[in-house]
Amino acid sequence: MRLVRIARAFGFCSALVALAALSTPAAAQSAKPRLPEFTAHYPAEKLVEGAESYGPMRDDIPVMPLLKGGEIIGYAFMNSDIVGAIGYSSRPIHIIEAVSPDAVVLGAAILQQSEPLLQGGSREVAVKKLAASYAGRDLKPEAVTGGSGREYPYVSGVSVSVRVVDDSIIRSGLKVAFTLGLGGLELPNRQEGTYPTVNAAATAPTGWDAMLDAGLVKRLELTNATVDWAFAQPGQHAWATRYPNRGAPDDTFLDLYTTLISVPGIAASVLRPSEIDAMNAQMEEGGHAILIASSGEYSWRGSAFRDNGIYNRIELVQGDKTIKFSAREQVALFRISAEGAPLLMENSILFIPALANFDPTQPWRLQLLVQRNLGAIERAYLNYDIDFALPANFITAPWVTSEMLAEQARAEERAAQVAMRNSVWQNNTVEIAGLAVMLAVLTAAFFFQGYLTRSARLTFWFRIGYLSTTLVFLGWYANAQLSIVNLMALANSLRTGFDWETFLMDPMTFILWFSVAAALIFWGRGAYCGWLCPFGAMQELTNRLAKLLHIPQWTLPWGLNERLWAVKYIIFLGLFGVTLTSLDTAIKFAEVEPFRTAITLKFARAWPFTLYLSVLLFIGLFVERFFCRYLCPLGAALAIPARIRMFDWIKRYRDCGSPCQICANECMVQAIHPTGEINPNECLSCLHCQVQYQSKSVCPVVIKQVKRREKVAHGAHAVGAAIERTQVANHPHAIRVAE
Amino acid sequence: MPAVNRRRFLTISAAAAGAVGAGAFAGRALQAAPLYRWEGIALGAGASITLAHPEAERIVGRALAEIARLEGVFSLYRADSALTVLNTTGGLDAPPFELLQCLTLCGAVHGATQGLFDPTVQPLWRLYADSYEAGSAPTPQAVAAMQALVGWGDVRISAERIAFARPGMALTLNGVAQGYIADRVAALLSAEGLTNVLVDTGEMHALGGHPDGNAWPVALDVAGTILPNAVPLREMALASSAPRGTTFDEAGTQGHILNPATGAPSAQPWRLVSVTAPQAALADALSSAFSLMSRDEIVAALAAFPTARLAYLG
Repeated sequence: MRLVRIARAFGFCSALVALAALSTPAAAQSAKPRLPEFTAHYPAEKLVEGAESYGPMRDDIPVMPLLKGGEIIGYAFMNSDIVGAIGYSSRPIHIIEAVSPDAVVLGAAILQQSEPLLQGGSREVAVKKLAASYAGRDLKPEAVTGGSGREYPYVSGVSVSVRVVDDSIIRSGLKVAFTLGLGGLELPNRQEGTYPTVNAAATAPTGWDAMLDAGLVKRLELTNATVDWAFAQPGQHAWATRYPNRGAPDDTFLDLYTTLISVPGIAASVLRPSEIDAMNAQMEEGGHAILIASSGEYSWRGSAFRDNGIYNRIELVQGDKTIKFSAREQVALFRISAEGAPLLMENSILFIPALANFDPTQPWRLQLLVQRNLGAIERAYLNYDIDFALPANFITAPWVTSEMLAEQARAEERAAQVAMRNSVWQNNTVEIAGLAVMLAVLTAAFFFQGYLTRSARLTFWFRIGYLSTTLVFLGWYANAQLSIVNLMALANSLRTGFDWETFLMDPMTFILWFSVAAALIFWGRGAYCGWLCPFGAMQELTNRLAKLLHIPQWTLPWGLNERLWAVKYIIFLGLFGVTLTSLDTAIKFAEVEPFRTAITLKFARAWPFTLYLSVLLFIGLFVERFFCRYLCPLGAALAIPARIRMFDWIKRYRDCGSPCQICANECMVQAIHPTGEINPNECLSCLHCQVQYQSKSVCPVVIKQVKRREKVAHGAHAVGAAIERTQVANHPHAIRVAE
Repeated sequence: MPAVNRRRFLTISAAAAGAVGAGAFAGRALQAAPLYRWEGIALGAGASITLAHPEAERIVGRALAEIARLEGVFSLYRADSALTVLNTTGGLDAPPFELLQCLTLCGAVHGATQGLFDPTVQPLWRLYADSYEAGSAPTPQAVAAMQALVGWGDVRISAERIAFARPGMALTLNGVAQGYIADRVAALLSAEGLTNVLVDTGEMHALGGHPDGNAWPVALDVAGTILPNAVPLREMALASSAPRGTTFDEAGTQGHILNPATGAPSAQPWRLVSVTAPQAALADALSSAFSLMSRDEIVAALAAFPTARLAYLG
């Protein structure tokens, strides 16, 4: 199993969001819990070995205790009752999960899912195994990051479904653990009430002494004598007294001041405006900053920070957290300019990252390590504390209503989904970049098709190369095969509540669909069907090989060809109708597309599917693109809007079709009517007829014009110019000029 | 290894004035405040904190957070503690200040006890625990091999990094950390303005005396015999070691305090060694060391710690 690592930078900000999300009970999920319905058919013993029964469901959160001999051994719940678990199909992946009183996952099992790529086959087994593998996972470490920033398991080809499984198992487990207080995890108080925050409007008195009196700046004053005394205390290093401080006993060893400088009122009294700007520029969203300023013999900075970038003589303690400070991110101040401030030499604004979960309204203390060198190696240490608590007038506690909390919970849930989506995009950069290049190349080829199609050889090899890339890279490597299932999921989500996030979860499909939409306006269905569809490419490439081996090709009689076209529309409409009643059933019928067997599962499937695929490919050896032309429901869906395209890029002469039928006969998909016009619903934009269009050896119109020009100009004029004029004159939009 | 785990309790009692009917000694605010009692898990065992204070809940919350933080430094049972990281990787960058301070204290007691107090006995301790767990005493060869990993002088300590000079070395601070935690919690409660508090993390640190005006009456448990009010405690810490209170073997002959010099459990006859000192950490370390020493040796070692007293030896 390959592991995909989430980019650190991203994991960092998402962790904050997700952590906030954790602190919300399941209030965001308003629908009726489905836990009772699922537990009715899934015995407790199957979920966790040894469990005997489920207890009654709680009122506050849809969780049932798991009982064994009357004792609670864990808690069972549905992931989909607790967090958003919408998969690729726009429907939830329902997973029953159990968590122990110590916040360890006891068991997890997928009970119901409509994921199109997980209907039977080895992947469904793999993902079910994956869900079961969460048993034993300790959620407590996940709580630190809020359930994000971890490595995602990888199951080839179904990354979206897997991410939803992973994300919802961990996040719902965490939410339950936090709500029930499992494993020491505790939910911050999220009821209606008052929440203390820093009062940004509070102002501090001016003047250094007034700040000290108000407790807004805290001081630690150490003389040589106090430190010598402390080093002489029992339990200190035996040699500590042999190395007393230099200087007079009353001389200052260290005079250190600290404050929570990120509080606006304090900053305004201590710093100059330019210093405040410098601080705010470096402080991250949700972060905080303290000021440390000192004079005296002892340096709180020390020198070791030059090696490891961390100040190792100071640390901040709040609650059970110890925070060390980075020397790389700081604002050093030459002096403290507050009125009446003493001359201080070592002054820095140090930053507390948002991730540290520092609460500015709660007391904290700065710990100072005093280190005394005893000879070459031995050292003795002292630890001094400076306590800081923000005065009451710097704290406000606004009343927070339950509506505000619910809104916040919704925003957090959304943010968690955005976080998950962003990670998906970052993990697929290779695929996305590859697709972008392919789309750019194809767009250029279409825009400059006149130049491209001057050479039959170049056009041929360009097409073979492109189709091979489509099959191998887009298809087999990136699994970017569009399917009628995408449209069915879209239709379903339009009915049940459209959500961009679900579609953004799969970058390749999203980009491809966006391109298809754009291409439909410009060129019709051909851009996708003819160039970007991996299965289409597979059919065409296998047919090419067949032709190479001189396998006879069968051209269908025009009347039959035209009537068979209709079949795909019937299939498409039928599937659409079934979708309206049941997406699950429709997804089963969508197996009429052999894409999953051929592309995503690479033939590794039960024999009826591979047999069906083989039959289609076999027919395709004799009838080029048989499936695309007559059966493909996706092709039908794309063909319907094909007539809305804004431009006619495929050029024709007025004489085409009367009587010349060369292009019509050579068109691989028989999209050219005997009357000469191209059926845009069927055309795959292979550009073959465009090669003919300017072929001096095939197209009778060109041959005639060239000969006439040669006569007129005695061969002196450039042949190209002749062609050009001919094209203009013959263009359907051109005004006919009498010859 | 349940046989060798010491049973630990955390009890913090403060100003339970109303309950004892000695309100005259408690402040006015304390008198008015109802008794707040917290029971839960701390330091891996059942714990209780009893406070009479208007903000009792908040103060208890702070004390528990501090305990949790210090467990994150000293615990051998937490995979993420600083000590566990040091033991498993052999080095620790930017160590917590508490660890440096504790190791400084260990060094001092090590020096004053001719090396009998030695936190580097952990590999040896591990060997005994694992062997008896498997049902037999360790072989002399195995003891010798582990003894080779003991050596306080091979722990390199600096504020930048703590590291072992040889692979396989490991530290245990079980002989000092409980006392240290009691000291830190007492300091925190003192900073909150509490005056009459008894912090009991297994070792005790008394702030002031009992709210009834007397010293905190501390009973001693000498091999099952309770000596009530054996040590009156006021503004002082007390630590006790019972070398045979917890044993490696079922028979109860192999005590849990190991002698780094012999590689064997203590050969001294003591059932209980109790030491008082201004810091519980110091008392804790001394009581552990004294378990391995004769009375004369103990008296000699105490000379280096004028504030420490032997409260019980027998």
